Amino acid sequence: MTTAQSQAVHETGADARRPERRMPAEEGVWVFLFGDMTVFAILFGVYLFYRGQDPALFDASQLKLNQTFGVINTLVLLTSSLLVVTAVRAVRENAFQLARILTYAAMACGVIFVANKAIEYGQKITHGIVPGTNQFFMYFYVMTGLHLFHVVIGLALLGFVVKLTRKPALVDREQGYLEGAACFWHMVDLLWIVIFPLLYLVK
Amino acid sequence: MLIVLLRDRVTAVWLFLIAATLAAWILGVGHELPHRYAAVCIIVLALTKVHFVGRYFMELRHAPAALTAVFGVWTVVAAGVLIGLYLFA
Repeated sequence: MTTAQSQAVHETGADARRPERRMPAEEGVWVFLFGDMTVFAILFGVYLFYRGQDPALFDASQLKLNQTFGVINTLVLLTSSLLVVTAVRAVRENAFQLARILTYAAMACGVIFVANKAIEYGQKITHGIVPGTNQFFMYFYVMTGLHLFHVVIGLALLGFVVKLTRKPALVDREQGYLEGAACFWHMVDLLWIVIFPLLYLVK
Repeated sequence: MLIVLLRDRVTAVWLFLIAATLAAWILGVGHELPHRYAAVCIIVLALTKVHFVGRYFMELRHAPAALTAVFGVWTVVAAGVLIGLYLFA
């Protein structure tokens, strides 16, 4: 085998290992996701700006939060994301039933998140801690509330994914919808990955 | 099939993300570091996790370079702005 032939074989092998670059979901979905992520990023920035004006108040208020809720919710969402990406890959392998089970498991994680948040809100409200308590808790309720709203939308989208997995096969457009719903769920995870440390950990 | 699907780099990334979450928790609740160092480490760790969620869960590692670049820029700018505001606001 000549060097050129050997190189050609080597390159073909490398190409076979490297999947073709393709857009996950529709372009419009990404415009929406980046828009949403940027709105949250501005909110994170505003929070840190006001924290800088009165760090003592923010630190004292943060002590009233229970970090365990935040950690458990982070682990729950990370696990749900693994389940969703595995479901998407299962669909590509035509394992629709497995994809459905994985999506249901991810939805269960989402429900655990919501239940956890409801318990946390309940505890805070019982102790008289509401959005009007001070600036920290105003941001706490606004950020976690907006995020919770996204979790609920994400759960509805995962329900749509379950519906798609009941079809015998997916056309390209439906595959795009599936990936779009999955990416929305990952964004919900991604936003919590930033909200949790900012509110619960950063002193 | 599930075992085949889980025997992938995505699962290793999930394990890393779990470990990073626990590391950030330790940095947030109990350590000897000054608060400012811990806070900057926590923010960097969070945005590193964001990078991995994008690359492996959102599958941007297989996406067109432009989309990957936009996501990368968002992550770096967010990290810069958040650290800047934390330190100087």
